[in-house]
Amino acid sequence: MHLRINGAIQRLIMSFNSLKQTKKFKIVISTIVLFIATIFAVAYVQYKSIELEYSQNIRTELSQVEGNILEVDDKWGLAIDSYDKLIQSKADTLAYVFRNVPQYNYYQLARDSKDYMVDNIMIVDRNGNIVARGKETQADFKKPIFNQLRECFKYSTDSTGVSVKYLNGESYLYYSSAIDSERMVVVEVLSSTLEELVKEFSSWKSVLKNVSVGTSGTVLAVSNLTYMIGYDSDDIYTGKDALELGLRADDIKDDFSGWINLDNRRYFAGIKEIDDAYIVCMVPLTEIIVRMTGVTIFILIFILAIISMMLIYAVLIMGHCGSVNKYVKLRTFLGNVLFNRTLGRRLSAIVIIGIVGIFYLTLYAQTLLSLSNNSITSERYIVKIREYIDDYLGDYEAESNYYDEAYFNKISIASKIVSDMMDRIDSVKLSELSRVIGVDAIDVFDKSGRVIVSTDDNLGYYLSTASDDESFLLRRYLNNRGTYVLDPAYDEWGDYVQYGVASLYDKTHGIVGLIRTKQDTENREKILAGASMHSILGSVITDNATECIAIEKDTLKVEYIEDVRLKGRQAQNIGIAEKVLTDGYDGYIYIMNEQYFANVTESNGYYIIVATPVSKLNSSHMSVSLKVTLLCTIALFILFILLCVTRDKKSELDENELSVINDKFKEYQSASMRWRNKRLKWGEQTPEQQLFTVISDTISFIAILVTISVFIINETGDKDSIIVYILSGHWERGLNIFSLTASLIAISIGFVVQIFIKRILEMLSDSLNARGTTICRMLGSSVKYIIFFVVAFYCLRLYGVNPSTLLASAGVMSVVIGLGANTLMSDIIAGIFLIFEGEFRVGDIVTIDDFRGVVLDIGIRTTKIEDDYHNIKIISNSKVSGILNMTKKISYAEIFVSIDYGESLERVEGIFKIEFPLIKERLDRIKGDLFYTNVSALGDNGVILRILAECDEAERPQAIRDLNREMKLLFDKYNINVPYPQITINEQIDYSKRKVEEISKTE
Amino acid sequence: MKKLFSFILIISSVLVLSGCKMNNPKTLVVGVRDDAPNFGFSIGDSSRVFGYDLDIAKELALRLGYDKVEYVVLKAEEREEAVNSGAVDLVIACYSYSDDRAEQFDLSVPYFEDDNLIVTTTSTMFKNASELNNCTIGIFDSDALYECAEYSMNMAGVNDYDIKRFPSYTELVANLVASEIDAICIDGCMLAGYYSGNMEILEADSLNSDYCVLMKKNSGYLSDVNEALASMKEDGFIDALEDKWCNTEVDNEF
Repeated sequence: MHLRINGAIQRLIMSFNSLKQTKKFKIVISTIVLFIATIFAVAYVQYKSIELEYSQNIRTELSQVEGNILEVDDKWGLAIDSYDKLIQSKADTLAYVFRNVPQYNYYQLARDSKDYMVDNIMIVDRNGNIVARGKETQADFKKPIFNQLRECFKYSTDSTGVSVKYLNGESYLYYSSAIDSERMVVVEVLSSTLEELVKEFSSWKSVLKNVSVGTSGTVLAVSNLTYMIGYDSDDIYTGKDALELGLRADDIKDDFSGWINLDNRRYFAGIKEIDDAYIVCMVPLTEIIVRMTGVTIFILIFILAIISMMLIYAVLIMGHCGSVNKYVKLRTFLGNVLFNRTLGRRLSAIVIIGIVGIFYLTLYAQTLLSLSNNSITSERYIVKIREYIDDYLGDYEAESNYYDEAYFNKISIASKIVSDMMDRIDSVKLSELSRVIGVDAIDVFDKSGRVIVSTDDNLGYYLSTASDDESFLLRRYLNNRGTYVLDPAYDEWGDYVQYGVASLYDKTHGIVGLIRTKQDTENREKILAGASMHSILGSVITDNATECIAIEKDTLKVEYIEDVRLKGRQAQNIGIAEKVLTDGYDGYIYIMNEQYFANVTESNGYYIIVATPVSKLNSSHMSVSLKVTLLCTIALFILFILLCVTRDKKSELDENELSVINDKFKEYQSASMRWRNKRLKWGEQTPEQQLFTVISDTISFIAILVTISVFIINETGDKDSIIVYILSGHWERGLNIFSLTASLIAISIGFVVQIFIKRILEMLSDSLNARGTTICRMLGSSVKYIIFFVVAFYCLRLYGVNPSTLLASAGVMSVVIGLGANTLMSDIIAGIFLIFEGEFRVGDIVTIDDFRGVVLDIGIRTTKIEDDYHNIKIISNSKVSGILNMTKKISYAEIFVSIDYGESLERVEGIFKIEFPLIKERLDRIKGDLFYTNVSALGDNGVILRILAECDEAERPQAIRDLNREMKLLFDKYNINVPYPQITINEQIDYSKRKVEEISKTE
Repeated sequence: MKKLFSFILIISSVLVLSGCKMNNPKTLVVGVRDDAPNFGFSIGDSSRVFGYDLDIAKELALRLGYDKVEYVVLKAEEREEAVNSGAVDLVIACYSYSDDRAEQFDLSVPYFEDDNLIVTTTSTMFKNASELNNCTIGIFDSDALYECAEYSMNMAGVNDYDIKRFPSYTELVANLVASEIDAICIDGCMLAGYYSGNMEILEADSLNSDYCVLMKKNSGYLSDVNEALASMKEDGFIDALEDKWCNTEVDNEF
């Protein structure tokens, strides 16, 4: 790794130097300026679009806040109203009792105040004198402040309580009801309950707790008079002075949208004046920067790569093929200029690739970031909704308990009153009682279960004795002492009512009957339960496009959705697939054929979906991408012009005379280097190769960068980081932007791991012997395959393809292929044996099937051999046979020379003795001795002498050639006769007849 | 290179000059109160004082051409002393106009004209000040307000009443709510700081109190200040301030 980076730096410096030499320094400087300007422009475009998005979102949220305030105000009014009514009815009931039950006396007041669940009961006369009281009171009813209580003598009003806050800090409410023209009942209650109600509803928290901005935004309520911060969603600044925190008073105004400073931090804020406060929704600068830089960094790296590619390419091409550069004369407004066509053609390819790349990259980066951003924001909404639901359920329970308790209290009071006036009660009195006590109807049953008095027309109604009748159930209350509140239910007229039952007693506490009260609970139920999901999700304030949907878990019915037409339909009917309805789902869904990006959570029997339409999410991306692409196009075009167009041809040509190196030769060299897994030196490469080197270095650099950042972020990163989100894998499997990104990360990591292992193995192999080298190489190649398969499997999984099923289905195929793969297997096995038996190793010179060469590589399937002409033969391992390994010992270069028969052998041998040491010195290739091994044969033409030289096998052919040359020179020097081909020509002999004397002799 | 050098020279000289200017800004020292709700008050642990007076002071300094305003917090009884000793240039601190005062000091045209109101709780069912027989009326401890209360009672034909003084507005209002006193006499704008739904403003004749800027006799500020105040009235600045600070429509629950 280190080496490679070093190399890259060296290359940079070299190209820098060459730039300086070629006086293209100006170009480099202007390119750098151009690059920086482009990046800033790109960042600015990004920043503007994000700012716009936030300002729109904040505007929508703020307008929703206004609506919410009205809702909360309503609730507040309702709560106070019902509280007033409740206490007033207690005062009225007491007055009713004092009017109608003569045996009631004032000494009971202390006990009554407990029964009636109030703090004190007093009887006060017209002038404000206290006639009787349950306990001491601080109130002086003579004071004008209590004038309102005396109004009850004039007419019966729905009085609201008189509130007095004493100097000791205790706060009381007083309610009155006239007994007769002289006396009234005054009920005193501590107003803490009401105060709590007021506190809860009047605080900004009740409205603003549902608001959230961006992924880390804050909501403030700032007083429009004093600029004190009344509410802060993060609860850091509550109660502080906004101006002291650095907010400028000029900025805080209605409908403001822009940048503000608070506590030395910069925020993008939207402000709206509501009632007596400015509601400030603000997003920290860091969030915008993070979103902006995300995309910008992507583009930055890409543009950097493109520009450096153009630069290097242009400079090198100009350096190497200067003589073949073709120029076109162009006439422009700047006068005549020269356009380098060769360079222009090659550069335009890079520019086009660059522009297309930038466009898609911008689109990709934006989509990725906005989706993950959206997912985080939705996550925030979901947390809010969950909190809200919990709150709501708590409230619901508390409130229904409160209702039940109040109702219980009413019934027991009613039963007591009716018991006391059992003998005198009539329907008029009963009606009055039901009115003052605040129930809709009262029936009084005697001991036999017959209605004796009723406010409705129920006279004579019998509680059934038949056990299957509904009213039979009431009968048991005739025997069971006490007060009961029944669960609300629908009565025979279809009203949703709640019955209460209590026993009636005589003076000796024997049961004499039973009263039944009826209270219409429809409103209460409606308030409490009916619209629960509706009110929860309706009051969650979301940004521009986000929608909340509730789906009932058991029936999969849509309980809440913004489009009311879809309410009540089945989830599948509106396009939501059942498989997405799982807790924690995070991905795409379809509603009425529109694609949404959604988070799903499960809460209290509902699936809550927070969904954002993808179209809205991506709406600004296209325009931003186009703008960015346009900017980059301009930048690249300027650079293109800078590089390709010159004004003075002469100087250009002078610079280009620097190098005349044969490009073809370089290509051969680099090819052989590739086999050796080594790189050529920078200067020896062709421009295309240099470009390739730059690209591959850039890719490795990016991969390393990605890997490192992934590891750092995964270890230290906060939950909101995109990388962490992607790594967490909480998104839908399938072909989408997250799986794409995750697989890119996986490939990067795989790539880096592979490079890393390869480097280690290379370093190891340098310090090991040949066998070690071989094993390292083999390990290297197996690691490569393993990593490839692991990454491929992983990526397939990310794309939603299950590789094991893929493999299983491929099983049948594999049987078919298996026969064909037979050779493959045998190759692999043969390779393993080759390596472990060490028949030959990398670098050995071998002859395999008459092909002599250097072993370049022993792979898992093939072996590569390079011959002297640098041809590479690739032999399947199974075909490797008849190996002739020629590396083992010193080789002999053997030559034969002939001398003429006429030459003196002694003289020649003498010359050899003198000259051989000299030759040995001259020829480096001769590693050992050079010796003469006497006469090899007596040839036809001359005497053949054999000469041997010890040398390396690799150099043997050249050594032979060298020796031959030396011998020729030697022969010339000493005039040693070289035999010429000698052909013996025999003259034809004419055969003659036998002579007479030869005949006679024999005869 | 020469160009660059001269450029640096110019830049640095500009910086030095502007630095000089920044070190000596024109500052107007204004005495204000921090115990008068809506006029000059602070909340909680904040050290900043805000209110009607402060807004006037800031605008005044701006219109008189000062760069900065410095506020000095004064008690009611320290106001005159502070002006005479020169500790402050002006006092803008609910200083109401009277002929006696005008003789001793330079008093500007009023920047705020307010009625004194008789206020009681809604539950008394009173509508008119004439109903306040046998009642105790509370005021903030000030002779001017005592005069106002007496005047209003006399005009309403009420003879039998007590006037009780309280050292602060907060105590005054707390005693009203606690039924210790039956009504209060208070400046309209002060009331805005305490107003709540169960308070009733009674019909009554009342004295005005005109708040002026207090300056040392013949200090030379008078004409400029008057001019500036007149322009504020003209362009609606003062109306806007009254809307902002003296709006009794708003409950002070926040």
